[in-house]
Amino acid sequence: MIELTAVSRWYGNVVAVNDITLRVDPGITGLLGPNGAGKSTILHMVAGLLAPSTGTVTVAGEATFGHPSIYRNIGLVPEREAVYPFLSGREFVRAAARLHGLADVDAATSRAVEAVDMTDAAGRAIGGYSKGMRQRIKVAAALVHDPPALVLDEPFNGMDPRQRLHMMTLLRRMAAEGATILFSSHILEEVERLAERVLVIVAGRLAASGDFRQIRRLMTDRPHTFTVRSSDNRALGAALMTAPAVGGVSLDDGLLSVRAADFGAFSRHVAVAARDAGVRLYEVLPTDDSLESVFSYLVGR
Amino acid sequence: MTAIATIAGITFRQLVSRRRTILMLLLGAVLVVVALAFRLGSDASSPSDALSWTVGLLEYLGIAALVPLIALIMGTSAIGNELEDGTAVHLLTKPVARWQVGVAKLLVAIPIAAVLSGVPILLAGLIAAEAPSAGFGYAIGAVIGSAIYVTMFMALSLVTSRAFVIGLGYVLIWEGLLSGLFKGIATLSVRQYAISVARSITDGLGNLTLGADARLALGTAVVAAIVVSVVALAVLLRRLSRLEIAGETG
Repeated sequence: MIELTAVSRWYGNVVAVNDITLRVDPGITGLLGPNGAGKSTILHMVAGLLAPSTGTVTVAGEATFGHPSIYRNIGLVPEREAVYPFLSGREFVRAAARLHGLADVDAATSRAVEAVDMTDAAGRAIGGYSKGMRQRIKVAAALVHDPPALVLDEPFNGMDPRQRLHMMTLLRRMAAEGATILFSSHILEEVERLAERVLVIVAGRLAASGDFRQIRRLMTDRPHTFTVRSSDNRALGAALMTAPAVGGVSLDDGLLSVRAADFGAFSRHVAVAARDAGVRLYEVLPTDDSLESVFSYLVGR
Repeated sequence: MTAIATIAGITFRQLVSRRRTILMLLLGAVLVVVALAFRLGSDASSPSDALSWTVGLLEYLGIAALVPLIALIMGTSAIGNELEDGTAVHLLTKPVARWQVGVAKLLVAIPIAAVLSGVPILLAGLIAAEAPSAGFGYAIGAVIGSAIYVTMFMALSLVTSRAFVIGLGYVLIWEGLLSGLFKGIATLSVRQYAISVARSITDGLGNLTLGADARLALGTAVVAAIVVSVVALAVLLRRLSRLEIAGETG
């Protein structure tokens, strides 16, 4: 559906995207990478808003830049939240339906508004919407013409957990009906929960791609260090030492550092261990789990 | 057509829903109030004095100030603001040719600018002079001036992000200062086109000694105005069709 072939894009002397070749097929694909990795540039090229400096970007076989007809096949949910504040949500979606030249504008509008669960608020001006509501009305406008492909740039920014869950359900349903969904995120957990396939972008390059389980293994099968603050660090340290998920414990200046062999197992175990030892946990902080460090680990291998 | 109408509708609400529409109405009101004050305060002046005074008012405050200022605000806002705040993406990611977006914006911004500057000029002209032709003549000049200015400034907003400042510089320095000093510059001055047309419509100007800038013949003005408009329109549509929108985080 979406294809990039040997695509690079630079701005002046700065290379934003460096020789990327990839293919996005029906289903949900997550574009994962730290901020500034080039995710937005890739999505803007896919959405025909940027021309690749070299290489080709196509949607359903058609080059994207300079060809507005591609928008019949693709919907874009941009990252910036700006939406005309003076329009009501329904007017905004309706305008999108009219710009697509749909035969039944009203039916398409109602269907899209309902799909994002905004029927109640659709009559109000967008200027008064919360961040999450704006995000949802943008999604409604992007899918009003029922496109076979939907591209979303950081769609979960500013959403509360309930809205996030709702959005994920919606995207899963579209994917189940055969849509191609490509979304970007810098948050590992979002991608993990939603994407069937992951493309990892680091510094403008495609660092890894494939099934999420593969990528996850690459990312999590590495030692993690946590710092823990609790009511009794010494007792907790002793209790944790017995857990198989823990590789080592050190106690300096009353600060407990735990080296965990397995991120997930440790996360589950630490609360149980604290409860059993009668210790109150104040803080559990992964010290090196910024996405950047995960990525540098992945790229450095 | 639906696409152009839809974009025009959004653009209209965008341009008139802003607070500065009120500001522009106030600017126009100043012109009308000055004309009113003149009419009420000068009972002694002859009709020809009144006409020459009116022409001065409409040219210096109307055509030279109100028209370019309103057109500058409208022309640089119509697409420029949308590009700046990111809402343009919603229009550009639809199966609508880019030129249609540009045309829809012009079809809205030009009439708004023309009304906001033309109506006060018409009123001021009707109030200040007893002969109505000055009001009509300069209102038509304002409409023509608005159309050319808006097209130019909208094109400029696609060429540079400093369109407002550069546009203001053009109006104040090029048209205001230099075209008074060098004759050739008048042929590239929208103000002179508007004045030339307005004067040719207004009756009774033959008896008046007009300012030193009465130098652009109607024929020259019309030809130059058409050339400038076509060039501005071509730049606008070409820039729009090649416009790129970069991602926020790169």
